[in-house]
Amino acid sequence: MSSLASLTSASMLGLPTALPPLPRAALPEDDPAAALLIAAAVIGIGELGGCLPAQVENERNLCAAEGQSYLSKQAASLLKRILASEFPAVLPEFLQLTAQQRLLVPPEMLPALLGLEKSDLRRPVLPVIGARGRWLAAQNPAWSYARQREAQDAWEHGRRAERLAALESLRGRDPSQARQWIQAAWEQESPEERAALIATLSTGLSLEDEPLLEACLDDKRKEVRQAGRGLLLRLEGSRLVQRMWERARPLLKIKSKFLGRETLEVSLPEGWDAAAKRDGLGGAQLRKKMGEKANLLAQLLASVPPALWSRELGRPPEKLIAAALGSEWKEALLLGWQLATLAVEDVAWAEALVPLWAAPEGRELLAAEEAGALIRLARPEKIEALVREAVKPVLAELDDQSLLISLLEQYQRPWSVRLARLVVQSAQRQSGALRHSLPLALPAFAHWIPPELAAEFAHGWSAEAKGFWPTRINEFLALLNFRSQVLAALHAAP
Amino acid sequence: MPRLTLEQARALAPDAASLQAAQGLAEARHWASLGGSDLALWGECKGSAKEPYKVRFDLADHGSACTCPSRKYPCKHILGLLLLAAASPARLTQTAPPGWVAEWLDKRAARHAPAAKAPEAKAGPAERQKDAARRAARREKLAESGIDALERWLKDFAGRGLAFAQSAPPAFWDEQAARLVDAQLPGAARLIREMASVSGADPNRAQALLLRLARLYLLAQAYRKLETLPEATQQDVRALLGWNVNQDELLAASPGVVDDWLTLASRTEEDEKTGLRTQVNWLWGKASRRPALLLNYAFRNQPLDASLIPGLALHGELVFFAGAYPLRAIFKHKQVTPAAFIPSGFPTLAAFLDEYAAALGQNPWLEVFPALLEGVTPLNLEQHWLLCDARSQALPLSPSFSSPWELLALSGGRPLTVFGLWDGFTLAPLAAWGDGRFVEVGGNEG
Repeated sequence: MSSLASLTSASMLGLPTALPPLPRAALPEDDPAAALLIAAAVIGIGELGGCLPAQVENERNLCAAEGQSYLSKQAASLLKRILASEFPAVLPEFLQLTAQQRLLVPPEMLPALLGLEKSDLRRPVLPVIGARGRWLAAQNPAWSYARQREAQDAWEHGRRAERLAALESLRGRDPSQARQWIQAAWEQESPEERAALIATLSTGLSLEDEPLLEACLDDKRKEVRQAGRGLLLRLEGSRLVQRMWERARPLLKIKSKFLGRETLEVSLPEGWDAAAKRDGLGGAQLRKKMGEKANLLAQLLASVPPALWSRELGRPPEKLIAAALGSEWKEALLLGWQLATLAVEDVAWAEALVPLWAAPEGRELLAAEEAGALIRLARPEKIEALVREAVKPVLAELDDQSLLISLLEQYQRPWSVRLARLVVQSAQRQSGALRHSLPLALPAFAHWIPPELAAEFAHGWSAEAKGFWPTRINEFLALLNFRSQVLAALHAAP
Repeated sequence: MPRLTLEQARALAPDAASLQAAQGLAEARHWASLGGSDLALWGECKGSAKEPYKVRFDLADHGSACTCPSRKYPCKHILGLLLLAAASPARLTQTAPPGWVAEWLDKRAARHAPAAKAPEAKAGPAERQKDAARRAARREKLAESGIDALERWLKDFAGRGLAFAQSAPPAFWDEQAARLVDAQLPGAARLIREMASVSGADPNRAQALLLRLARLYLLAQAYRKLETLPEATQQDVRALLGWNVNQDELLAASPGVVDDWLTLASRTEEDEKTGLRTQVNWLWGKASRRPALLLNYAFRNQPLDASLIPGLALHGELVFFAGAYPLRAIFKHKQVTPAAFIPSGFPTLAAFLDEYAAALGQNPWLEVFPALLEGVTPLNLEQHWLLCDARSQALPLSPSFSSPWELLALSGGRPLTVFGLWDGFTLAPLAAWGDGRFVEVGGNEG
């Protein structure tokens, strides 16, 4: 009982029955509690002072030297603020700029970056962690996605995220080799895994992938069939698109001019045979309140790249959409086209559909939950043109009730300088009056406005701003200023 | 004199609201005038009052003043000036301090001049001395009754068994602590309150608790035979129990150590009940190669020392409080110096533990011991974190240390210089140098 540990366990439920003899301290015999406390002090402090370091096996595991330089002190302190949740939404932009400048984050910030919960931030993190980050990730199983061992090794022995990362990076360099990996592993993979593997083919997609994707249509799992089908629709030369086109092509015709306006002559599909069902037609109705046949039409149109229609009917998307609006089947036509536009990411069609969404009557025809994705396909010039039509300085401001505000909120891509000036200057002219939607939307706009405008937009607000305005203007300027600091810090020499 | 970086300026904010308000003021349009020299920063901030607020910041020791009525310190105007100066120094267009700045700087310089200290007016010195003696005697008597009660409480606790701590109601600790405060033994009261925090079920905690009880008992015993102890130990015992040292007398009477002092760690804790904020700072001397502990106290938003910024060095004279192993100190005078350095520490862990053992021999009540360790590599052995030296000897890191991975990242497998606090069982790192760069680690950041 000569260690503090044994003295402790003997004293848990009361005074110990005996105390160890202590050579250099006389314990009071008539006061057992005092004796315990003195013995504990002598033994305990003796142990503290006698503590020796433990001998350990330390295999040297050195990180390779770094080839790139680190962020400047100033940039690093901005990143620290982002990671401390001050402006969390600026992180993707920060990482992208850092990668563009071929800079690395300082080592002590690596754990915070590697541990980010959001999986969509993992890819932008990889180029900024350097050799040190990969070295660190190899020692923590939770960060294995970032260890970047030999691609072949990662593919054969890695966890799921690591395998997919290896496959994706190979796909970027050598698409056919990546496809061969998938084909070789196909039989041993679980169904969930197969769908994820197929999804990686979206990088470097070509007709060479078509046979593999066509085979997916016969897979037992719905996820795999859907993944394969989605990619086949983006290949105009695929057999799937050919079959869809044969089904769809006879259904739409331009109807001769009626009072100078064109409309569409629509025949409705009757139903699907077994081959059509294999191609993914059938299944749940797209919109309950539409009729059965209208649903069939919309479903079929959603499976045809919309560019085929522009070519077949010899009209740009705008004309075809205008013609569709004159048809009794406009709801099915526009819904189908919208979904097809999203499936193949057709920018021209998206830009023709977006103005529809900004008008109350057109908006109802589109699928609301997919609106954001559609709007984001449009180029900034198109959005700018839309706003320019509605906003004429002083004569017509960006109306508080305008659907354009909501459109801008959902756009979530970098704005042009002119778009930023149009919107913000209109907001400034209105900042002396009570407004609702515009000030509420304002702070988020600061994510997408070119940060070099920060100084310009600091001035020009009404001195009598009230209601929602003052706090929102401050938030807007704070975010824009912060982004301009980020830009300055990352473009300055390190 | 170096100006503050954006990060350092932000760290001075007393709270998030002040920082946000200051950020709004950090734009030139809010200022009627702005200026900066090697010695100071200044500006006139347009506020709600008719006259703009006059804001001044002394770069020599980070003292500041503002004419606004805010009770926060530093106020948003001072912070705004610092943020602005860090972000856009070109906006500080004046270079010569105007009268109101020069006057203020002169006044500060005069106050800090060592000779300027006027001897206290001693009206009837005999009378005063008698008074002081009477007060001291009264306090000794009060303390003795407090020590009696403390001994009874400790022995009673030991008699119940250590397991009692797990079920003891908060009042068990609080009442005893309150009795000690009444007996003017606030230091002992703090030791009791801290015991409550280690009274968990796990065996390591029981062991830590027993050690605390034993050390406190030893302290009570030491007080009883105070006259028989060496002078330095008497000072340690009194300081631990809660006797304050008159800092003016200390500064006047004791020689100091002139050196470049690098601030290694600074953290501020606030007692929510009393509003007392305690700033705990660890410094290391460049030439003297010794640590110093600076404790500053302030109520609510009263100023704390703004010049103690981790990673920055101060040139000045530190006076150490008397003690068997002196650690606590105060500045006699100091000045910010741009010459930061990597201090040299213990070359091996064995050498560090030798010093710790020697220090414990001098002062058995040392709670934490500053450890500046050279050439140590973080190591993760089966989920336990260690620091390992060149001889492959290792010490465990504290389980409450929040950033072992940061430390490993900083090292890249190579040896680091690490500063931390050793409590006799584990080490809690506070700072490290990687590739010559100073980095704060372990909680309390950002």
